[in-house]
Amino acid sequence: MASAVVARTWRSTPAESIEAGLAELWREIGRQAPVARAVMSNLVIFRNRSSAGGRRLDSLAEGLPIEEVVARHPSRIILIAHEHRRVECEPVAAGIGIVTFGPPQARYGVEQIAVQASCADASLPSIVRRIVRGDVPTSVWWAEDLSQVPPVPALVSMGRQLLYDSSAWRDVRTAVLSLAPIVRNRRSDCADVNWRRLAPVRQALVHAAESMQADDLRHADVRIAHRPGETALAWLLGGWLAARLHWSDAAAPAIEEVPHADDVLTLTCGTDPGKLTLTLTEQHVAVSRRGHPSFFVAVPRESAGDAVAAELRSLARDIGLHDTLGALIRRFSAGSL
Amino acid sequence: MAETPSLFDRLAVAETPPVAAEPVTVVIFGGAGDLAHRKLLPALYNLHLDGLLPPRTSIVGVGRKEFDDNKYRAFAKDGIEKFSRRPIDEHAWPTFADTVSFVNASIDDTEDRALAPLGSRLDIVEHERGLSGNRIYYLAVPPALFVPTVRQLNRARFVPPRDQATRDARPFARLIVEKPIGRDLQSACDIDDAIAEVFNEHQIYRIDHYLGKETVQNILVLRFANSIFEPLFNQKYIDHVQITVAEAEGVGTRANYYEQAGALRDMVQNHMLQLLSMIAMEPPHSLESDVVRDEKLEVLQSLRPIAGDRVDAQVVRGQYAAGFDLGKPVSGYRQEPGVSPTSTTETYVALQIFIDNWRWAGVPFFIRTGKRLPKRASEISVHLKEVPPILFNANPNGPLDPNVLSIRIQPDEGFALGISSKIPGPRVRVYPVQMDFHYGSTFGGTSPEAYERLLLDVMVGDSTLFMRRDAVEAGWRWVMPILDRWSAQKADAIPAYAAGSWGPEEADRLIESAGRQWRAL
Repeated sequence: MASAVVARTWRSTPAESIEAGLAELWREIGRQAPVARAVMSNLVIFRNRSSAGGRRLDSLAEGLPIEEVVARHPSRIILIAHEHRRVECEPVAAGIGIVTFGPPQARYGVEQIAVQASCADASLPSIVRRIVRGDVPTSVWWAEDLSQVPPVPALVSMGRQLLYDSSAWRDVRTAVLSLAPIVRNRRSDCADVNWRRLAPVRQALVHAAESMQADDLRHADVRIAHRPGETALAWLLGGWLAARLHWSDAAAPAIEEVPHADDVLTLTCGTDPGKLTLTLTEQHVAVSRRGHPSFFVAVPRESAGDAVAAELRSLARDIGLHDTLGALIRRFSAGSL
Repeated sequence: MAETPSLFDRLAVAETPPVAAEPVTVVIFGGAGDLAHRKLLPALYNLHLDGLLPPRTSIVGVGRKEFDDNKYRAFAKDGIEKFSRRPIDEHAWPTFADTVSFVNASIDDTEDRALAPLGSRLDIVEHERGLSGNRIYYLAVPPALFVPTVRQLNRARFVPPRDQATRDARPFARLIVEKPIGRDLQSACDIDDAIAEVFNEHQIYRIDHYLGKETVQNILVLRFANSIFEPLFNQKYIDHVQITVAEAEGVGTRANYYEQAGALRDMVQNHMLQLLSMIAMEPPHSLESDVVRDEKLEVLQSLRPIAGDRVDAQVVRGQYAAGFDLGKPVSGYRQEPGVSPTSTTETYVALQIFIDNWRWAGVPFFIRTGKRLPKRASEISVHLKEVPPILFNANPNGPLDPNVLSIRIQPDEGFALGISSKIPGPRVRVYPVQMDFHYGSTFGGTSPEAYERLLLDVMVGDSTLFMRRDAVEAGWRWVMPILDRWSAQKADAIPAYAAGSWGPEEADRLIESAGRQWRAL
């Protein structure tokens, strides 16, 4: 359990005075009680101004577990609410804040900066460059559905990591293809919060594979059924199998949505129902095979904030996700859903 | 022709391997006891919540209580509700509860079939779950039962013959032994010899929960993953090192054990010498468990013996007398239930230690531990030498504070570096400030309990954080002359200190005679 928020301070500021304003805020807070400045990374959060609605600067982060994330992985939050314009222009508004956590004897604070920008995509980096700290890593959290708001390459390339949640994708094919330039140039790592949910499934399949033959999982035999809203998860599983088992670009398992299903997804292999059945629920992955004892793999309990913080802490490229995206990009480039 | 990769090899590419992958049965002797209730079952539950238990894991408690599986699950749930760092998750609980069972059996060294009920149950559990027979036997029982339990395991043929139990042999059988291992060198050797008749050394995991704490593990990272510190860790730059393990509580319900042990046996011979060896060891050439443990052993073997009248000069013992705990009157050690009114058992000990090797020649290590001290605090502090008495340190009436690297083990785990900084203003005034790192505020969340990490390590077969026989015996070999000296002195009383103080005055004199002071905690 992370520390609870103790206090929030917030004020509007001219964009050019962000650093000076933050320094002043720190002094004010420090006069009340000692507080340490905690920053392990810059976390640039991108939101579309239309999805942020007409919100005030201090509420642009609504719906995102930002405080939960920074309580676990203290980061300088840079929230960009962007509206694409053809002309280059300056940020229209900016706000700064400090959120403090922890007991009185070990209080620490995290900086938050919000910027509403209406300008050309290409000018976004000039805003971000001004306010990131250079001595810590930068991650970009794309808080929009990539199939509706594709990533801005100039902004994404400023971070070592592009973080997103594929469970929000309404159109898997469009979203996957929007990631193609990032996957290809390999300058930024992709980190998908939804992909984490597949970890116990992959672990269970690897474990089951210890006693399976090489051709026991043929693409024509594999069927993935998922409950509504889990299309991306099912495709990620299919893409992972395709990448690992070297299926051809055109080959894909049968993926179908099952209305009113309780289980998150179910993978079956072959027409013989006893051959292999893997079921992912919110609690565990259950694997059964004829002639073998069934087994469970627990699904780790983590909140949305836990998951994002865990991804931010990971400094290594997730080869499995990149290979999976590569397989899906090839598949969607070659044909259609 | 190249061999076609197996399905497993293909799917496992780039997957982060599970920390522990091999299915295993964890058999807890003393499964209905206090340690299982407070520590082991909550630790296993948290591993389950984190998805770290290998698939198919089975947990079998063994004890004298008349529990059936359901009662034992309720016992486990009660322990988790009271002592787990995370509460019961009603969604995750049923899957965990399903792994837990109980066997009623008592260890009787003379009874040939004492473990027969356990054998029958293990056969059923392992068959049902498709387990290959990997087993971890946890001796959460009083020390007097270590050897009888191991002999019973052997008699019941639960352990493969030693010549077949190679490191890579499967199924494996591993043994976890809780401290204390013996009360002197001879008894420790006797226990080790008896265990060694049944288990090879690589199968034995002597647990010291201190070594599972995040901050203790971080000592090696701090030293060997940062180029700033390691060049300074030697007699050229280090003035002295202090290690403190302070407890605010008295002897509590442990009087029977503590009367026979005392602070030197209870804390110094194991925990504190392990901490000392980690802060002083040479860089290992790899992180393989035996390589790390070889380097730690080197430190123990380089400790300058303290014997004869050197004991009186370099070791101070004390016993708490009546005093106050946060303003509340508390009784002295001799007035505690179960303690002899003429007891000379030490509840405090302070030592000045030297390590006779090239790196640490002449650098004193001051160690202190005690009960009924003002607060619970464990810390290693590395005190660097003072800067020359010129420039900012030219005023003999106001010398600068030397830099101190302090590693807090508990509570509020973290480390801090004390440095001198200019106070803003027109005059040059220097003030000591802290560069302070807190695990809690930097990484957030709650760190895993030591037992979680250590249990997982046993499942993996990594013994780095466990004590090897030679280290245990080296520790005993070093403390024996001190115990012998005290035994020969037959003192009627030892220095007293008021409960709630930082120990006897003799301890202050010990460090002050060397020109240093105990660090305020």
